[in-house]
This record gives sequence, structure tokens and C-alpha cells, in this order.
Amino acid sequence: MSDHRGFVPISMATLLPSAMLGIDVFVRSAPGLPSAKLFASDEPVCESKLRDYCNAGVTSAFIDVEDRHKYQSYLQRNWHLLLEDSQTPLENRLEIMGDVVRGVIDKQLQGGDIQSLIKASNQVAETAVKLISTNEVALSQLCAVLHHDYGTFTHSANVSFYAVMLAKQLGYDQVEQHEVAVGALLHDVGKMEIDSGIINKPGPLNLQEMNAMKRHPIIGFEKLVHREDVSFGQLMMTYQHHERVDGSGYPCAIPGDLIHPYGRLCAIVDVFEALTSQRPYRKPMEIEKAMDFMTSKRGTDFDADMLDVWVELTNKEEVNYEQ
Amino acid sequence: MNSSPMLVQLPADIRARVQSPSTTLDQCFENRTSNRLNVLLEGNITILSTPTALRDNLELSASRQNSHVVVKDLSRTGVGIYYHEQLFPLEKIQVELQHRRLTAIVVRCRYLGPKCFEVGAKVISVQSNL
Ligand SMILES: [Fe+2]
Repeated sequence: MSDHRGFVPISMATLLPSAMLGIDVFVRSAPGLPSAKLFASDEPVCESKLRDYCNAGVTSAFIDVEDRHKYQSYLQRNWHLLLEDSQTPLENRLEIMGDVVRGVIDKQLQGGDIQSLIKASNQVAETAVKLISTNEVALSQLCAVLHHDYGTFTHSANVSFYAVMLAKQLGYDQVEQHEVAVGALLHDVGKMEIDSGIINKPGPLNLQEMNAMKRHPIIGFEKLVHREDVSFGQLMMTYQHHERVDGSGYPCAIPGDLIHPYGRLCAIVDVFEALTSQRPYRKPMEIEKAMDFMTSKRGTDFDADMLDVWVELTNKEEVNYEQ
Repeated sequence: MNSSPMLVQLPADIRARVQSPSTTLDQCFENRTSNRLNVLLEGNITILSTPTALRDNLELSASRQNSHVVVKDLSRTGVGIYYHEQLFPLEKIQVELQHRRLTAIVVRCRYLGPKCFEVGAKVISVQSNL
């Protein structure tokens, strides 16, 4: 285990005593404990062994990269148990939530079935709202545990968590927070129809590709507009998240007062997520730098009042995880 | 053509170029090709149907009404108009131009200024000699 190539880290907090994972779980050495296979694929998670490693300060285990999908489905079977367990530190619960939501949204987006996507989005949004709304989560905490790789699924999941945080800070009630969380998960749904060569292009897009890409709010709108289970606000998050308050956005170039509040909210968290995540051609920006950049667009790209609230959030102190 | 109000506020340069309804409309239709003909003619609009998720938004329905519009361009497959409100993709509209009635589906809408949106729609049928 000296070289972890071929292995991916998982959080020890996701291992439920007595659970059958069906995959080998490894650990690195800890003082007084051997470095080796912690649990074999054909045995359940042993509570006392798990406790020993946790007590020794081991927070991560490793699984074979090939077993990632099995681990994802284990998380998806057990996420309620893991997230509702108050013994699980908040930091770990946020991390689990990120993993689970990513997994669920990834699967649904790849399947291309909008009905299942909306259903799954509603389920995971409920969890996100419960976790973020009823705990004192600092933005930097959340940012630290989320994955920042380049992908529409990761992006949508992260945007959704940030959207709930901003909605909460703006004083939206839990029903509205849920609405915003689902809307954020769906905001880039139009990208399902854009050529994957354009979506995954490792570099800036040329004019033609850019024009194709710019159609995704309209495509997303058309996918959702006939549905009874999508609200007007959610629809506007899909349609208007690239509009800018000075009228320089797309697809309609409407000014701020015509952009739905959810659309303005989505624009802020969408750009924040894009700046702070990995892109094939650039490194993620630190929160502070991302905020400097966004503040320079206050009142031109972004709604001034909403951005001020977002800045407030980024300046909020982290709270003690152990509470 | 009925006397519904003209609610769109056109930018001055466009307003100056709007032609009277007596202009050679027939010629426009007869010559309709896949090329777009810039016409700037007055017409009437009716919003025939609005998709579910938009319909319940009261703000939206209160400020919309049938009105005079300016038809900006025509082609065999499309019509462009200036309207005073934002229209959304997939809304079904009917545009009356003298004795012709075009039914079309909105495909795009762009803000040009207060009470002025440029709307592009795909023509699905044309009724003549009303
Ligand atoms: Fe987008």
C-alpha cells in the first residue's frame, strides 16, 4: 500500500458495522496496527476492528479503483443510515452526501431518462436540504469535502449544495430550499443533448462549438417545460442561469429585473462552482480569488444583493465539526 | 385586422422603417423562400397555447394580451416579430397579416429594450384569404 495508484480513498465513516460491502477494503499502517487488508470482500465489516482503527486516528481506507461502482451502490443502498446517524461527524456526512448525489445524478444523466432524473433529484435534494439547513455548515467546509473534478454530474451536484446554502442565507424556507436544490441539479440538463466532444473538450471552444454549447439552456427548458412536477422557478434556473443582470447573458439577454430570483441565484453558485473546480486546462481557483473575481462583476454579471449575501457566507467562520 | 393595441416599444431606427399595411404583402408571401425577407409590417398576435410549467405563473399571464405586433421578417419556415413581452420556446402563436394567418411555434426570444423583444418562431401553417 505504499503506492496508491489503482486505489481510491474512501472515508472510514462510510463503513457501517456488519455491512457486507462485497469488496476488499485496505488501510495504511497506523501506530501499533498492521497495514493491510482491513476487510475481505466476503466478510462483513467487523465493529471492533473498525473501532480500533478509528480510535488510532485512521480516517481513510482504500479500495481498488475497479470496485468503485460497487462502493457507489453500497453508498446508495445505505445513504439514509449514514446521513441520519448523528454519530457520523458532519464533515463526513457532507462528504457522503457529495459522493451519493454524484453517483445518483451521474447514473440518471447517463441513462438519459428525465423522469428518473427528476425523481432522484427530489430524493437527494431532500437530504441536501436536511443536512445543510439543519446544521451550521460553513461554505469552506462544504467546499473542502466536495469533489472538484471536471464533469457535468459533479458540477450539478456541487451547484445544488451551494444553491441550498445561498437560499438558506437569503432566508428561503425549507420548501423553497428544496425547490432550489432540485432546480440546481437540473440546471444543465440541456447538456445531455450537446455533443460529448464539445462538453469534454480539453480546452477553450471555437465559435461554432461555443454556439452549440450556448443552446443548452434552451434545450434544457424544452425538456422540462411540459412537466407537471417542475415549477416555474426551477424551469427558470435551467433557462436563465447564463443570463447576466446587465443584459449581457444568454439566451435572451434580459436585464436583472426580468431574471427570476432563482435564475439569479443559480448564476452565482454556477460560476462559483466552475471557478473553484478543476478544468482540463486550468487549476481550481481558491475561494478567496474566486470571490475577488465575482465581486468585480457585482451588479454587472451578478445580482448585487445576492452576491453580498454569498460574500457573507464565504466569510463565515467554520464551526466545530464535533458538535 | 382588428384594432388591438400596439404595445411594443420599438427602437426609433426600427420604428421609422415600419411600412404601412398596404405594402406589397402578397409579394412577400408569394416570394417566400428559405431566404428571409425583411418586411417590417404591422400585424396582430394571439398566443394560442403556453406549456404547463409557464401557464401557472400569474405574473406572466397578467401582462400578456393579444395585441398589434410588428412582423420583422418572413421566410418559408419562419417568422420574426417584435412583441412587448417575453415569449418562451414552444409557445404557440398566431400572427395575422392582413388576410393571412400564420400559426407558429416560438423558438427564440431576445430582449432589445423595455417592452421590446425580438421573437423568432417556426411557421407550422399558413391560412390565406381570411
Ligand atoms: Fe450551464
